[in-house]
Amino acid sequence: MKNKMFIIVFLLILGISFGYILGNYLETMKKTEYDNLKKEILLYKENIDVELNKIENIKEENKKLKNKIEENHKSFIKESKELLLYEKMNGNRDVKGPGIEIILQDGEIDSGTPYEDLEKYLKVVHNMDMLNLLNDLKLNGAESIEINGERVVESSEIYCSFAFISINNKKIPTPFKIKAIGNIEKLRKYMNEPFNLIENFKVRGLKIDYEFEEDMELKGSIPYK
Amino acid sequence: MKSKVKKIVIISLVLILGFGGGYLFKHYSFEEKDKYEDLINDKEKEIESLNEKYEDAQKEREKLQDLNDEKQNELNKSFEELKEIKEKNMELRKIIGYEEIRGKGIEIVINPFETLEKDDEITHKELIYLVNELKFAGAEGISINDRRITVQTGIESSSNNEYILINDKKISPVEPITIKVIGNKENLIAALEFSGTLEYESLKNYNVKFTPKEDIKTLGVEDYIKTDYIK
Repeated sequence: MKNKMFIIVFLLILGISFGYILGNYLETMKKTEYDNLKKEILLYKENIDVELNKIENIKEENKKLKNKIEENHKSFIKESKELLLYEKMNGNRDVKGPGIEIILQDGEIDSGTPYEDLEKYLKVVHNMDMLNLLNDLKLNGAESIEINGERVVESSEIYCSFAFISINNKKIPTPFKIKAIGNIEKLRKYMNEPFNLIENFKVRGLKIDYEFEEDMELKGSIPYK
Repeated sequence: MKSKVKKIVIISLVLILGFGGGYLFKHYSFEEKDKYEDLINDKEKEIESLNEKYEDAQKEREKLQDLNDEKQNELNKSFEELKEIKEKNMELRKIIGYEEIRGKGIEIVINPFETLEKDDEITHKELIYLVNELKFAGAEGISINDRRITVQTGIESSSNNEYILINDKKISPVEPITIKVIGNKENLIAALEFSGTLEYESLKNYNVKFTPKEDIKTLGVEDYIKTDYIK
């Protein structure tokens, strides 16, 4: 009987021990789970901070990109305006402005006189006449010039070609309509000078007529490259 | 046999009883039990909310990154466009005469003969003529004594031809004059060698020498190109 009691007590203690151990184990598990959750939260927070930092950096970068795009846009507008002006100056585009229109043509040659050859020489517009006229216009305020719709640009040659004058590889016949945009006051002053090239042309018997215009247009005759 | 089963049942009951007692004892002696349950629940909820926050942040980051990529592409495109227009402008600035240009060409030196009389001196006319001949031969850039000839450059004799003015700078007709020309060397030389070219008016009173050059430079001008009236 004593032995039986002893065994029962022993088994009871053994059961209690197992129960206690299991309880303890489960308790530790809870604590561990809690600690793990805390760690997980910290990790989440860190990751969120990393993401938020990245977002901030991206926003900052975005701001910089926007500014750069804005700067480029402003520069592009500035360059576009310059390009427009340069294309006008280079004869690619039409230009407008105040200026003078001169019509120059050969004079009437009296045939059958002893001076016919001299008359032919004097009363014909030569390429040097045109070159000298263009030179005078440039010296007196002309900023842009055309002859019969053909713009005079940096590389334009003026050459005698039979009954024509050739400019930009194109032959143009008389009458020569020369349009020059520029400082109209300077041009007016030049045209009124008593001993200028215009007077010389008149004395030689060339036909010349001119008028000033407050708003004239020169065509953009030079093709884009 | 019956006694054996009885024993096993008794042993099992005692063990279960002990186990239950031990477990319950431990369970109820753990004071923070409820607290831990609540904390874990709170933490789980917090994690859930943090996860949502994290996912939102990730989405926002990805969205912003996509936006940035678009902006970067836009920026690259704008750089390309800007580069292109700048190159175009630079090309035109060179043609118009604002900028220095370099290239193959020829250098012409016009030297007066020692016996040169006042009436035999060259004037602006000879220079205008020569410039035109060179343009006809395909000159792409011309300078006279380093004064660039632009589309607006006029050449003018002044003070009874004491000097010739180009872009407001004086050139003496009795001193050597150097003309630098960029263009096709062969064509430029052919134009100058053509009969009569260098015999024009007073040019014949000068010794004109021209040398082909592999690298020649004509300077740009800024102040002598006006755009006050053209619109």
